[in-house]
Amino acid sequence: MAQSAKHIDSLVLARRLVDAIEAGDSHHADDLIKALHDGRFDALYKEIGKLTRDVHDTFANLAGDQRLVSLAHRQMPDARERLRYVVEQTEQAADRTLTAVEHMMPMADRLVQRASALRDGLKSAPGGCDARVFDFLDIVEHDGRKLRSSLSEVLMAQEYQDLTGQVIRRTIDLVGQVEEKLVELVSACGVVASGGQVSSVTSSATSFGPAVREDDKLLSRQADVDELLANLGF
Amino acid sequence: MDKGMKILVVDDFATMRRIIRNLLRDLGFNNSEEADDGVTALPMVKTGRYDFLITDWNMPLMEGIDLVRSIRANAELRDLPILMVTAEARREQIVAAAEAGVNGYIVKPFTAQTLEQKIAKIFERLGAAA
Repeated sequence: MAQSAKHIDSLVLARRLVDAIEAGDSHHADDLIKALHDGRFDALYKEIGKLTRDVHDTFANLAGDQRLVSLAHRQMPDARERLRYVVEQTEQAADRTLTAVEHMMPMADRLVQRASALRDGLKSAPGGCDARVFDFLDIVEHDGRKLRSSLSEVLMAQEYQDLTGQVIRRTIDLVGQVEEKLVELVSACGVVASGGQVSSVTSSATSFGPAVREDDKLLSRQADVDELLANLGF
Repeated sequence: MDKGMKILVVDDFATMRRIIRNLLRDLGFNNSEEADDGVTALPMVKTGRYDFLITDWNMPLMEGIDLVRSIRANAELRDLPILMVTAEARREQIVAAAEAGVNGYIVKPFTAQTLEQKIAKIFERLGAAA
């Protein structure tokens, strides 16, 4: 309605403008042109004013949103920490596995070599030897080779640590970048953390997953856990 | 191919360095050393003690591709055989590595057999060219 009323106003002004020009009344024509022009800009200023209010309200709402503060200052760094923990844990697991494999490989080699050498020795021994001994040595040699090849498989499988580690490192970078932008946004909005506890998105959860960093609230070592339990009378 | 040749394994992941060195031992190459990044590796390579370089691409301070370029730009090192072992598998990357002057390129995940074949191929070609 307002739109069409404005339209009619403009139309009336335009007709008057044509009349004024035809009548050669340039002074009046100038006034009419100015009136038409002002009318258009009034609408534009009103629109800009409305948008400004909207933006202001949005930022005001953001300023009151403690969840944003928590996300920027707590949950995003926490997410990065957790991802780093995954890289560390998989690296340690791969390292332990490799140590065990490196320990076992020469054992498997030795079994094969010794069984083979013993069989050769017994073959040429005077008086011969029980066939069951040869069977046993065959099995040792055969299984020793299989063991060796399976250990190679275990070794190669540890490659996952490098591959997943690379993916996770990239994800940590990405989370870091988002976090940085979020911190900028939070500070631009003038959001101030409230004095009380900031509730996290997952505030209803009672479990927190593995302890990913040294923290006085976290007991990462079994000895610490035992000590606490002892203090509690267990 | 000389099984006693000195090999430098460059990768930022300790797990991968260990895997590759174990595989090399299995193949009879007992003379290997390691570096965790191009920045560490380059001065080692410059000593001229190495006969073969195995390097990753994606590493923090100096990427493998830059290590390759630096080596190829150095008159004394430019003939060092280089095998790239990396998870980078885009066509343009493999092209870039070839242009930089690698002698072989293995995409992770890989097998012991692939490593054996690529090493054999590199030294076969170098032998034929010599």
